[in-house]
Amino acid sequence: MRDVAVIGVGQSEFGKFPWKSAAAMGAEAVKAALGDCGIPPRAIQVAYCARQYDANCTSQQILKEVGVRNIEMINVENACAGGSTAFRGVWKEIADGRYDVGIAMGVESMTTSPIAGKLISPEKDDLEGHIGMTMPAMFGMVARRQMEAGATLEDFARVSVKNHHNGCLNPQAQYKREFTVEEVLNSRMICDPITLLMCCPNTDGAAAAILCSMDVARRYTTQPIRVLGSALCSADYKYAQEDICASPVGVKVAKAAYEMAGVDPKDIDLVEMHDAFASEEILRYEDLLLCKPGEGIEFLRSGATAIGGRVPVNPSGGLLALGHPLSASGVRTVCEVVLHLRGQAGARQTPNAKVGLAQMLGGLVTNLEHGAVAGIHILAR
Amino acid sequence: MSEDAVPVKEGLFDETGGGRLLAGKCKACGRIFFPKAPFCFECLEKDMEEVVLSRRGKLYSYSIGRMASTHFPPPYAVGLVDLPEGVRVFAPLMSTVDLTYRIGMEMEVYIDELWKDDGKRVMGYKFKPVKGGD
Ligand SMILES: [Zn+2]
Repeated sequence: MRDVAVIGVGQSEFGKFPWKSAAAMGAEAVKAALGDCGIPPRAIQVAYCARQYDANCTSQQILKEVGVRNIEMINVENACAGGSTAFRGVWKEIADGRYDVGIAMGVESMTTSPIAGKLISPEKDDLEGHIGMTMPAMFGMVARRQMEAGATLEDFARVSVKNHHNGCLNPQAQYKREFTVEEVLNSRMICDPITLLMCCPNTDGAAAAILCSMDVARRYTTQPIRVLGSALCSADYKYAQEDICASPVGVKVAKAAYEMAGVDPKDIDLVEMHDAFASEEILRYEDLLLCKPGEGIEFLRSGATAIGGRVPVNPSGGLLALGHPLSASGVRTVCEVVLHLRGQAGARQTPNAKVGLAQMLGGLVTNLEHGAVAGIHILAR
Repeated sequence: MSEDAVPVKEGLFDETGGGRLLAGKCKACGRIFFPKAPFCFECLEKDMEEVVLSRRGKLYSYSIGRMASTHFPPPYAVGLVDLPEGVRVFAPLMSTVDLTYRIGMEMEVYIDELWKDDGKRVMGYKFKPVKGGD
């Protein structure tokens, strides 16, 4: 297996743009990634694009806008981990020696999707969905269990306060506004105890990353960022999930990624992860082995995951403030980690970052663990 | 069940003794699934038998929805109830006046109208707190 580097990253504007097509947003991200490394578009040999809603041939639709055609293009869907899946797809192609240069893309137009402004509606035969199971209800029930274990409403609010603060330092964030713990707690209740400001917003946007072999990387950059570990896995049946706060598949994927990367969790300098709900971020500290099991709340309270802490989590603002175009987020988290490893993350820079981790988890499937797929990439300079 | 009523899904429950949940038990390994599984998810055995679940269990967790779901106007309560057979059931909870639920509460299943569809009452299972329970 060959070493693979990320040489170019790009993100479109994130926000609510119902008038923008997915192809237009994707092209915005791809142009940014091409400009970031200066590689000519026709050097790209393979493309993967993740998208959950509408339109077919998303890769083709995007890449024709930048002059790329006539190459292998693959379109994928894997819930919130779609972007991680696209990134991993390109990584595999290059690591296996099939191609030397590829592009991973993720794009979503949430405001024009069938779920714009409402809860995701259940499939016809999804009994639990019809009798009231939704993502916020699930995370509401999970949050109640977290509170049994000592978490407080203020802890959940503090995650949102932290990530909104980080968003203020990121010019590309959808929301650049500070909130207080009280404001988060007093925002509209969605699913008790989850309030509006504890939920990620509806976001339109795209992200792209250009990967290549180390030989090619040296031609375009003096700062190639290496992909040390890549892992992706789907969940087990739900009956096996005794504690709904834990994500068995999340832990499994984390261990696989650390082992492949040859990296200890304590060596991770920053993390970008799936904080679709503020309460969820605390659980993922434990899944990612950033702290000991059961110590996620203490880890948050210690300030370890704030910018300037031991391991900043979601310095970009995360899904909560930067925004969450579902399939784009898995690529976007990688882009953010790359910027920190290059020392280009501006006011939110993690000092002297050497190793970073990008995680995504998502999908609600009847009879499976909630979080039906998890993907993790570990990158280093 | 009265003539204007239809079950939300066939074979999941009946109204005997205030309401009972009908689960599937694997004849090979004994694992019980509710709702019934088409085969045993544990050992892949296809031979499953119907078993009746206990009517009472403990509330594992809950949430109060404050935003309309597909069929329920807010506020509505949903929860997970652990039954003695080792089965965790997701179900709507009774809309009590103050919606004060507590993890660990003793709950009991009952059959109620979930919503109306085309003039028919769609019936399903819900859980309510046991009066005087712990
Ligand atoms: Zn079995």
